[in-house]
Amino acid sequence: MPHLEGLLLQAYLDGYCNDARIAEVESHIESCDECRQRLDVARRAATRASQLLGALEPGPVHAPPFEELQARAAARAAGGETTSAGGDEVDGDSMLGAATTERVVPFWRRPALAWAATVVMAFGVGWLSRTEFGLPADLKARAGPSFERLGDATEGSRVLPADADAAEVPTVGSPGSNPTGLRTQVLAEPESQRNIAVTDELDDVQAAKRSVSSEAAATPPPAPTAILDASDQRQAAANHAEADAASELRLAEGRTSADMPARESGVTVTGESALVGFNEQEEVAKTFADEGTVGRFVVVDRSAAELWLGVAPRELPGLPLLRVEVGPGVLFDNGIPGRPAVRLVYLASSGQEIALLQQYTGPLARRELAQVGQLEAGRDAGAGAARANRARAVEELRTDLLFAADRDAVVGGVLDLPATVREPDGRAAYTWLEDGYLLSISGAVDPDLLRGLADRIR
Amino acid sequence: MDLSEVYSEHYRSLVRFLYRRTGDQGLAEDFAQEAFVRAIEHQPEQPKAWLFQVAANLARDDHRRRAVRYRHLALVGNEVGSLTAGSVGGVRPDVAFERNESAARVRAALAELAPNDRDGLLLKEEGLSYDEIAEVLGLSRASVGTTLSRARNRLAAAYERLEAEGSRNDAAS
Repeated sequence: MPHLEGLLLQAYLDGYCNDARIAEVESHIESCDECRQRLDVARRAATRASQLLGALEPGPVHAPPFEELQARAAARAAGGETTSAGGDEVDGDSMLGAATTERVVPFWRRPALAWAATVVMAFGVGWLSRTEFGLPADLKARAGPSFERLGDATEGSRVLPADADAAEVPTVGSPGSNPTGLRTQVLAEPESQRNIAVTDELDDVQAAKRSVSSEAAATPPPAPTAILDASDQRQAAANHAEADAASELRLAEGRTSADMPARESGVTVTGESALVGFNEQEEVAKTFADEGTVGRFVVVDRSAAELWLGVAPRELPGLPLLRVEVGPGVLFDNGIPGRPAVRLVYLASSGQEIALLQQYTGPLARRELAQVGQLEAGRDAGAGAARANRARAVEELRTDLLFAADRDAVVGGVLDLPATVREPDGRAAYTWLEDGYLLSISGAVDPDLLRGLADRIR
Repeated sequence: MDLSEVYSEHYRSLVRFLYRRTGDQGLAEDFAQEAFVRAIEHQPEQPKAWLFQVAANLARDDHRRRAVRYRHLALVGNEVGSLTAGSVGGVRPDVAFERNESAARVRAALAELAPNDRDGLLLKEEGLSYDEIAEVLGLSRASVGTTLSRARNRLAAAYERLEAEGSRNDAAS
């Protein structure tokens, strides 16, 4: 008889099981000493925690009459005052707007939309990696300062070594060595899937579908330019040799099993399914949505990270890059909730993983992406509108996937001095703010080494 | 449920949550009232989870600002290396006073937990369901159990370590 899952025991203990589950647990523990003991251990831990927290009881609580609070709310509404008792930076209205409207149907309970967002991300990745944000040089020249800013920031990423493709391939299997202890989920993005035709009839993806098909028809292959990055070359290679894509996917699969605890293996991306076609990808996307992507980092293609962050991520030269992850800012200790975060994981010569966690603190590029779309719309009604749709879809993706976790978290004070912190688990982190990036480099290594690595980035 | 009923039923619970979170009862009451004032303004559909979420955000924001300020002070006064995890971990220096030693230890242990672990645990103590906790923390429901289990074990472990350190220090002095 298989033993009960830890999560099930925990849920039983916390009163979060339906009757069938309760019956399952109770009949099992009657005959299984081991599970009964596990349950006892968990129960003792829960009792102990409650007992400890019992030491923190407030004194007599002052409770003003409810009418007084109503009067305060009314006075506030009359005076047009924004709610800001939480602090000077709190914009209560925007925060609560998010809380009330988006709360009602959380992202992870909207599989259709989440699914669409995931699909859109696949397209966005393909689109963005075609050229520098997919824009021909002449358009970039006409785009004016708003795009230049984006372009300048993008330059930083071009220090990527020519063999970055190879460097992205994990060189060591390192199960459980996630340097920050955050949960990581793998979303492998096969190159050959980028421009796959969408056959589903979900309304949410109609715009994306149209944009893909019209672009495929209307846009000639991009002319080679000096700023083609590694992923373009990789895409070209993948288009010519499916075998290459297959081997890459096998690597991605290896990464999946290395990074994910067994009990979270609900999302699996196998080389085969990713090549077979969309139905499998749909399954992955659905599971992805069911599992909830909020509250964790996800392994992505490098160009997706740039899309996620809104600007090119800062990189750590000289070390092999193991993987690229994106996640919500709320997971960035001392970071800015509500802002996208990207984590690049490198391999130090000592064999430890070094994580470079970053957020962009400047004006988010969401608006700039939209502007790009509008510019294109002015240029060419067909393809331009498709781009505009896609830019909006990208925004939606970020709003849903990313900001779901952070939607009413508040941008508080940003750590504005370099600081070194040693975590209880022996991991050290060095955090600093530079050129609008909040950067934090961490690993189970000497803090001095981290500072040295930080100097390389500067 | 009418908000005034929610108020009479959950206001104290909210204050306790915030007190455990901030260590300052006056602040806890201010934040709890603020959360209710906002609830009156916005009439959320699920007021309980909503209130706790606003409260957690208020506390988090407050903590962030204090932590930054405190770190500045610490950096001015000390070498960077002397900042230990404990001093950065979130114990407010101006709330060092506790009614007894054990409470101070629990608070220090609580400060060592990851933010989501700590909040999850405190929300569970206030009787929130897995669904509500998932809602407040932006986690998937499936991960609430893991979060709680980890938080409980870490809280107890941190407490016991602090207790052992405390008795060693007593013996040394």
